[in-house]
Amino acid sequence: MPQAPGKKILLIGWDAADWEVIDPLLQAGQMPALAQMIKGGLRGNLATLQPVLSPMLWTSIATGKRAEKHGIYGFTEPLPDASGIGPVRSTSRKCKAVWNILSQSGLKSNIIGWFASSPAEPINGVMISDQFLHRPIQNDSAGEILTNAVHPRALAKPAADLRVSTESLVAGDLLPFIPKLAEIDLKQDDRPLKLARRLARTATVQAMATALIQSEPWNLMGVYFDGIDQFAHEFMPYHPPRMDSVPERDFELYQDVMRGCYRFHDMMLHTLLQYVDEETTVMLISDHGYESGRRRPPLNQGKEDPEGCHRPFGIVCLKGPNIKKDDRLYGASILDVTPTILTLLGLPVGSDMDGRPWLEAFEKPVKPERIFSWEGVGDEAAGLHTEHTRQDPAEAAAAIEQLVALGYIAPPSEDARKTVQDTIRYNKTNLIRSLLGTPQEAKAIPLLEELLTEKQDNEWCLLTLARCQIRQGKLPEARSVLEKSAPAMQQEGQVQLVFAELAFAEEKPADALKYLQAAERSGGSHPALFNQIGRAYLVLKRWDEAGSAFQKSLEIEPDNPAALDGLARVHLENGEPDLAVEKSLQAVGLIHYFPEAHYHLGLGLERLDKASEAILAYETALNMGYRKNLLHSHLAKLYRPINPQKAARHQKLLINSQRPRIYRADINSKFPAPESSAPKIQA
Amino acid sequence: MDSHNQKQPAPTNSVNAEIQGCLYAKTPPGITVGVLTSPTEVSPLSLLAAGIVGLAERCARRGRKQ
Repeated sequence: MPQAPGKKILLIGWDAADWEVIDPLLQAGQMPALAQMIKGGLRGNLATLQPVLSPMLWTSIATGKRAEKHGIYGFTEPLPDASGIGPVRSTSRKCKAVWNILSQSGLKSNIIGWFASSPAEPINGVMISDQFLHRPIQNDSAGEILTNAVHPRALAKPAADLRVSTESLVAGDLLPFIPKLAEIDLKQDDRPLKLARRLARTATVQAMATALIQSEPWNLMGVYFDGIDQFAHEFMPYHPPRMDSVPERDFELYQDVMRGCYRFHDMMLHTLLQYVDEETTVMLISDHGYESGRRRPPLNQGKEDPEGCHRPFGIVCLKGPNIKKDDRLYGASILDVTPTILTLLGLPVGSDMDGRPWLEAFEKPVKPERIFSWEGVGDEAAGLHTEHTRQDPAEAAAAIEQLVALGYIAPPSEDARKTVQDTIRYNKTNLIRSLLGTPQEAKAIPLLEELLTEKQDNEWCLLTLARCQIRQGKLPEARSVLEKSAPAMQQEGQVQLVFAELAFAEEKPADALKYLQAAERSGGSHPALFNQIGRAYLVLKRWDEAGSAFQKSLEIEPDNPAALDGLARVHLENGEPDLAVEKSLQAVGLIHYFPEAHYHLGLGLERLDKASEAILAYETALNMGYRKNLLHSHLAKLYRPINPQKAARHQKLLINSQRPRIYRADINSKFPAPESSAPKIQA
Repeated sequence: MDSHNQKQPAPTNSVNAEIQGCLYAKTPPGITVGVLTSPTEVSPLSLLAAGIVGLAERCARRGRKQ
């Protein structure tokens, strides 16, 4: 098969794949291909981003940037002439994806089915876009071929011939998923047909991937499968153990579907791995996890709130030359995938990317190169769209129908203008959600104020605006927003939580605790509530009660970094540094960007006299911008016996930060300085 | 996909036949599906998982049946 010179990476995306489903299958020997990959490589959790919406997440994966930088805010967007809506397009992306960077670097990419990749970009390689796969086909006919959904266009017809139609599937294809298929009246129950459609789509992606992987040279092969997510939205309610809301007969019929789905994906993985050699790095990822146990929403409720079924951690498995073997990867995020791919290929990482390369994954240390940004550099060779291609409204309408049929979106209103307005509002809300809790959070405030101008009683907007203002230190504004809300709303648990946050910010922890207890009495049982209660008790120095609250949070959600860090703090106060280190390590293992947890880890290690490890933890927190004075003080003390130069540097930084600053602008001020005996400053 | 339920049982397989790799199916008595007994036979689902090569074999099988 034709080869491209240079290193190679096979990137496989399994939307919604979750270790909680995979691990029992691995233990039972039912996913042998993945088991081999894990044994010969690394595995870990992959932290997702908010909101957990696939077009936004897979674009963050492909760019290494958050939504505010990449510009994809949902499944749909208004058409340029505002006559309706269409699926979100690649022309809406504001920055380069990894395949653009590779193109301009002379490397080839074959990309199949990636979200928001239509129209296909003219990259160095092959792009089969998501819209090409979404277009339905009838019987065995390839159907209408969207030529702008494939690059190069000459491959559109051959790719179309590889599409697997639902009608081509046979009973033998479905029986491993539904063993009692023969007992189902297919005229009354359309679930087998829904399964067949999903299976056909998944098989289509596999057919295209196996065709391209051997016929078109590549350095990066990116294959996106939405099968697990699609199967899960329909069939995860029937996965064992049976939920009370699921009729016994339905459970009996459909309980094997999800296991079958994952095992089928393992079979496909096995096939793809036959086409790569030991010099290829294989990366298997998912954008988020999927609830499969007792936290699953009841049957039917899951369909009304698909995002509510998602878990915050997806999977990552990495195998290849210079990748550690039989080891774990901690603190990984979906933002890190592109920086890691660039590092693996010897290309610099943009400093404007929000993720980091997984340097700890390499056996021999690698020092990645950095550039300021890939944007605006070498654009002519990056395979970007050269003009804004208009979307045909009829094509857009057909594509929207497909998104509805797949369950990604609700059917749009018949009023086109209303649909456009709703879409703009929805996407703006998604952008706001993506900014919350990030260093760019302040940008959410004017967007929230815009939404409130349209609808003043939008409860979510009010509470979110108040939260943002609290975090930006605008406490009087936050109090004003909360107190302007309707009295009935002020009694709700969610609002009590925000009042509690405000009380914390106003340094009134006792008041905060009262609000939190009121929220709990009003039926609140979310882990975030118990974390806040724990935090209040910590500030009030009631350590045992704090510990109980954090434990309650972990009982609901075991992978809860904030609760683990809270417990670490409790252990530190109780003089149990070893337990504190254990909990802190768990916290940062889930979320790397958690400066507070790194600080608590450092404290625990310092108390255990593990100076060099403590230094590492403190330096990590410092690099994340956490409480610099405090960290300089700890680092100065720890470095003193081992590296007096570094100790002196940290001491100097600490002293400088405590000195009052004299600004040169004061010298030329028009306002007369007060008479004083202070020496005159030379201009 | 065949739209009618499978009514005719497939031939039962020898208890001692070696099972090849594929997904098992628990079925009503007399029907055994998804369990391979012949080393030369590949299940339909395995052919789907095999991608382009498997699709070619599926087409060939459909051609032989017609």
